[in-house]
Amino acid sequence: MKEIVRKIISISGRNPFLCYQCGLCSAVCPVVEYMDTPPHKVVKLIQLGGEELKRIKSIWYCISCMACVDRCPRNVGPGILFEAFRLLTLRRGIDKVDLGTLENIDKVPTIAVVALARKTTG
Amino acid sequence: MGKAYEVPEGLTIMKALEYAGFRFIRGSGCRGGFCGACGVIYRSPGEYKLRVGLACQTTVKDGMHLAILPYSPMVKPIYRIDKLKPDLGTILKYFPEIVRCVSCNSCTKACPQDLEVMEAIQAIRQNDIARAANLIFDCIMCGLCSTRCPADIRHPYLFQLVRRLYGKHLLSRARHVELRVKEIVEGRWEAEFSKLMKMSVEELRKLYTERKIEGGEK
Amino acid sequence: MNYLSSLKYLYYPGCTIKRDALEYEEKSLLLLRKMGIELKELESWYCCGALPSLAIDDIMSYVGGTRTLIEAQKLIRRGDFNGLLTLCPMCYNVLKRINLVLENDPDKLEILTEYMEEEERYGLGVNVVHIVEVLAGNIDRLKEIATEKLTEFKVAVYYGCTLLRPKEIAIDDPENPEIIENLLTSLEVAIVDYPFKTECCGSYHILTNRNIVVDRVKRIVSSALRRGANIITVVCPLCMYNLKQVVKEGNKLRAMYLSELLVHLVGDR
Repeated sequence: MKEIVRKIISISGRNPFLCYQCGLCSAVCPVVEYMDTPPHKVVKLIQLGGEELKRIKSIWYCISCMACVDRCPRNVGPGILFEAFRLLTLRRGIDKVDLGTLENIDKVPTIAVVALARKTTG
Repeated sequence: MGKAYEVPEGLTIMKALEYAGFRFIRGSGCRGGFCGACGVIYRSPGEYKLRVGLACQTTVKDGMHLAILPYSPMVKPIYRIDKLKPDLGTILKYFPEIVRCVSCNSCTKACPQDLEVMEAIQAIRQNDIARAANLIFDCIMCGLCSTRCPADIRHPYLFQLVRRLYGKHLLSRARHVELRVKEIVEGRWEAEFSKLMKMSVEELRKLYTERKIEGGEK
Repeated sequence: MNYLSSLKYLYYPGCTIKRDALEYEEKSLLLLRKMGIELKELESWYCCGALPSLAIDDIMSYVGGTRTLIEAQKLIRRGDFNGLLTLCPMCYNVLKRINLVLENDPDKLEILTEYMEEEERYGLGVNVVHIVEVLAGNIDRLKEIATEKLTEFKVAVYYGCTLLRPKEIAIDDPENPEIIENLLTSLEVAIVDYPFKTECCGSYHILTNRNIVVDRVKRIVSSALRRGANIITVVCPLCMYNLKQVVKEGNKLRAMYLSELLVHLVGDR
């Protein structure tokens, strides 16, 4: 098994190989239309463990709404795999969003800033 | 500093380093525990804990390992304090990293002034600038907390901003100070000043020791 | 529990209630007071983190929430409280999930206890409740004080995500929640059913991709409008902020916190 896949499994505690590609996750995802790769396809790519995994941007659109996690018939929980995927970057101290450049940071509810920071900064 | 030195017992870390031949050009200031210039981290034999202190206030212990950390690197933000609103929004503009606080309490453990640093960060997060300012009033900006913070919070300048917001916008104005400043500007005390300027040192000393102290007995 | 018995909860406001949703807090506290439900705000509390980490090895992200639960535990020991109440659904979600994780995984609790050496051990068992649960559980008290009729209101209920997902901590059926609708119906408020009441509003994308939020909210709002709603009621300050990107003053549809709506019913505008 590829190291990147091994890591995603150990951080998420979920088994991507149980996925049988029903596509329910992509159907219920509220932000799927903005993603470069829909959730079910991301899971497939994790199963295959190919190089294209590193180029996926979808994971940064996921907002952990848990819609796919709750409904996954195979208990794969794509959203949880996405979190593990994000952490591969964030745990190297790399920030995906520069908090210092956000125009409306002083206007939005504080929880929005906290949530963004937790999901996109390392 | 990675090398063994023999020094007399009872010295402060700063004096011990000087005894061992180091010269402080930076990383030393008041030598009285107030300026925050001489932060130090150390471990004692048989301990895993990384401890912190001020080199001018901490006595050396046999077998201790230490490093001087006079400064935590950070760029000072520039702002016009009178144009800022004393609330969390302002602080998020300059120090957005405070939302990354996970309440790990590393900052509080690192504070040589025994301040409730984590409580202060959380008070800011709760939009209670006044409480935060009071909690960190005694911060000497040594930056030791910042070097330990997993959220990369820039405490010294953050707390400076909090104190300034509090002082400028939230604390009630001291009327007597304003009055006195006005008197000085208007030249009311010019005659007194020129009288003082002409006095000899002995006369000044006498005047000083016999002065009336506000709230004193006489 | 006997209807006339006293109900006392500890109260965890969270960062946003104290800054961006002061009116939500004011109306909620007023409503609960009128219902004879007593609240005591925690003396100190910590950031919950807004969204919990989904990783199984991210124990650090539980620290803030656990500190808050320990504060509650100390007060519960001294007083007779029914639980820890939150107004913000994100706070509810995080605290509830921390409880769940620590109950199911004693090793994690052990590591946390060891790490927070300056704190007492968290003994689990702090009952975290959201205001909606308390309102729904005390409909009798609400009926008693509801003097007004809101005949002009047609209410679409918007739940959002964090009260309902993950399903382990949901306050109602996550696929078809009716807890707020049932509450309002029993108070003779007209309800509008529509398909997007548990659909995400776009959450923190408001900071980086505002267009996503606007698209999402337009879908939710236009559906509610088509079904004839003139009020959309919410319980989350972030949902409220995001809805207001589309729902403006003077529109046919008004966005209103549930507490605000209920305060109208008890005749305190």
